[in-house]
Parts: sequence; C-alpha cells; structure tokens
Amino acid sequence: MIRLLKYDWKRNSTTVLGALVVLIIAQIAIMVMGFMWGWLPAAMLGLGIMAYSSVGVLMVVLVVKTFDYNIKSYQRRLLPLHSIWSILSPLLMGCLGVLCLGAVVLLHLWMYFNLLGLHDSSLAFHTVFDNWDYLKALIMLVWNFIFLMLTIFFATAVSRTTSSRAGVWIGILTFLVLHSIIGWVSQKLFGDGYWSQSGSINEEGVFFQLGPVGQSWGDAILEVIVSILLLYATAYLIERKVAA
Amino acid sequence: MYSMDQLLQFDHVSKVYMRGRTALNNVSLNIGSGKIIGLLGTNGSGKSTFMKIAAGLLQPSSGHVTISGTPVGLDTKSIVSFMPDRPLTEAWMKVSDAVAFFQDFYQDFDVQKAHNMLEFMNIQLNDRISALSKGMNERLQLTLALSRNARLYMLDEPIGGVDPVARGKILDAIVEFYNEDSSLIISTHLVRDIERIFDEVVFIRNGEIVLHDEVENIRMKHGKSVDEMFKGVFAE
Repeated sequence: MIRLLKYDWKRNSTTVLGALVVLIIAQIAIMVMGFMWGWLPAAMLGLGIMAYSSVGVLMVVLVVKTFDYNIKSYQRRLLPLHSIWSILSPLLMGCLGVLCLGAVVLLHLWMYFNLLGLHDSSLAFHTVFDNWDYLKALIMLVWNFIFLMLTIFFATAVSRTTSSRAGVWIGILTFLVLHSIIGWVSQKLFGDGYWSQSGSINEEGVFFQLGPVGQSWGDAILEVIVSILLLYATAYLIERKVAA
Repeated sequence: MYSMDQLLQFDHVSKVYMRGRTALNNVSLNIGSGKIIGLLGTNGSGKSTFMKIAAGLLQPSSGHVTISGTPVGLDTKSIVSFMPDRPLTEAWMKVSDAVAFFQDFYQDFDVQKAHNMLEFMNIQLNDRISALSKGMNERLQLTLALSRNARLYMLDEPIGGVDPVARGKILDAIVEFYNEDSSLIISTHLVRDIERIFDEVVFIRNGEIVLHDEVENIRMKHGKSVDEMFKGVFAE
C-alpha cells in the first residue's frame, strides 16, 4: 500500500503543496491585517477557519478524484494487488492530509488562545476545549473523515458500474440514501448524537462544538461495522462490476 | 479440461455490455505456449474485449477463462503482461518513473531488459512522457509490457495509428525482445504489416471466432497470404 501511496502522492503533490502555500499566505495575511486594523478575534478566527475549510474541501475532492482515477485506470487495475489496497491508499493519503491540516488548525487555535491571549467574549471556543479535548478532536476529525470517504468511495464505485450519464446521479443518490439509512439506524438504536459536530453563530458570538461531544460508543461501533462492510462492498464492486 | 500445453483457454465465453451490445458470443479458444498469435478483426469485432477479459479488466457475462489452468483473477495478473489501447503510464511521469513503477509492482520486471529496449527504441530515461509523440509513446508502452518475464503477453493494436517508420521499429522490437518460452497475442487490423511474425492467426468477426489456424496451413491449403485471407473473410 505504501508503494501505491507513493504514486498517488506523486500525482497530487503539486496541487497539495500549492494549496498549502496559498493557505499559509492567506493565514499570515489574515493575522497581519487583523492586527493592523484591529479586527475582532472572532472575525480573524472565522476567516481563518474559512481558509482551512477550503483546503479541507480541496483535500476531499483530491482524494475522491484519486480513487475515481485509480479504479478506472488500466495501469492500476492490471496490478497483481487486491482491490482493497486501491481503496486504502487514497484513504491513507487523505488521512495524512487531514491529520496535518487538523494539527495545523489546532496549533493555530492554541496559539490564538495561549500565546496571543485572544480570549474574547465573542468566542466560546475556550469553554468547549481543554487540552485533552484537542487530541480527542483530532482523532474524531480523522475518523469522521475516514467514514465520510468510505461512503463517498462506495457511492463512486456504484456510479462507475454503469457507463451511462446517469452514473453520476446514481452515485449522488447512493451517497444520500446511505447516509440517511445510517443516520436513521443510529437514531433508532442509540438516540440523538449521530452528528458529532455542531456549530452556531448568533449575535452573542461564535459557538462551536467540535469533537467527541455527543458521539456515543454505540454510534462509534455502528460506524466501524458499516465502514468494514463498505470497504469490502467497494472492493467487490471494483473487482467484479466496475469496467476499467 | 485443462491441458499443460494450453496456456489460455476460453470456454464458451460471452460478453454482453449493459446496453445489450454483444461483444463476444460463445467464444471457445485454446492458445498454446511458445506461439505468436495474430488476433485479427475489423474495428468493433471484439478483439479488445477478448484481451480485456483475458487480462482481468472485464468480467465475462458467461463462460470461463483460465490461464495456465488458473481462473483469470488476481493470480493470473502476475503472469500476464497486457499492453492495452490506453497508456500504462501517467502524464506526470518521466520515463524513469514509469520504469520504477513497473519495477515496484511486478516481480517479473527485468530492468536491464527495459534499459536495453529503451536504448533500442531511442527513448531516454529523462524524457517526460507527456512530451513523447504518439509513436514514441507506443514504443514506451511496448517496452514496459515486454520487459516483464510473463507467461502470456497481449498487445492490443501495438502499431495502430503510428507512422510506417515507428511501425517497423515496433515490429523489430517485438521480434527482438519477445521471450520465446511465452506466448504473444497481437490484435490488429493492419495485417499486411505484421503477418510475417505470426505462427497462428485467429479471425474474429462480430464477437465470434471464424477462423483459427496456423499461418503455414493457410498458405499451404489456400495458397493465400494472411492478408489476402483476411480481406476475403472480412469483405463486405
């Protein structure tokens, strides 16, 4: 898998590194302009999170594009390797990316609150997070990313079982139905708490809950079981149904 | 029933695509070891589908395919070297990256043979693949496919769309670097240019095998070259 990862990375490295450079420039610009013009910390943080979110979305798109390319590529499909590795390789690439991005975000937050002393009544972050929660938030971020990616990979593989134009819509429908079913089952079995992240902005400030809050063990076990099933179902589709 | 000297066996194989188009219709065929076989047919006759099924890229709708007695799948991918109609390389790669890729994933890849072939083909390791002409790219794809020590080689239209000079060079390379213990299947509709290297030919029309014979037999029995026979069989 590491060898596959090497070639997935080489294909995407220019885009990823380019995005990273743009992100760093954007964050520095936000901080410099914020301090120069006396912006509210909440505004600086909000803009910073928007920049990080954009890179996060780009990462999701890159990982899905890499998976989609690999399952159609003759070069990859002819390799004497089990299809599971075609799923795990882009997934690992995405996880490493999210881990790096998440670590930078948390470092950035920590700097805001602990080095620059930007505690502000308009920010509720410091009431949500203690130091241990930073690590838990990072783990949950990676796990949620893995789960999301596996559902998207499955939907992508389903969409590629047909060569017609309807394939895209079939994939989107599969993704939505899959998440609806998982959400419904989770709620029936364990009550509320499937969505582990929530955020809100009102006239009093930004209130953001990110992390293990609300995620029960039942949810986590359900997600693990569904993930394993999705992994094998996707591998089956690639081997038996997806035409290269 | 599998016989030791039969390398590739198609047993009543059909392939029907989703929109109902039949690409292969009840094809049964045995290919032995140590032969160069021409898979000949017009465009859309089922040549590529035949090869993709044998390579494990497509699943047949019915029937069974085995290579050395093993059903086509993960295990056979390590003994079959397939040069498809699309590149086995990526646009970001240099020639050296493509060679490294094959070396990383195929245990039977012979780096020295690849370097010799690249030299024969006038391709440099530092060349960017995206900058190669179509003819040079075909040469590179052929180099990668033939540099493996596989049991079965399959080349899908290796001389299609290249100029006569490149065509000659590619045919010379096939003869020069082909491993004689293995079998080599070449699909093409450009019969006259390539018939000199075939031991056997298979004619495929509308997804059905219409002729499978040794080239010598065709010349002796019918008094025709393969090209003349091809034109006779496929005349509209």
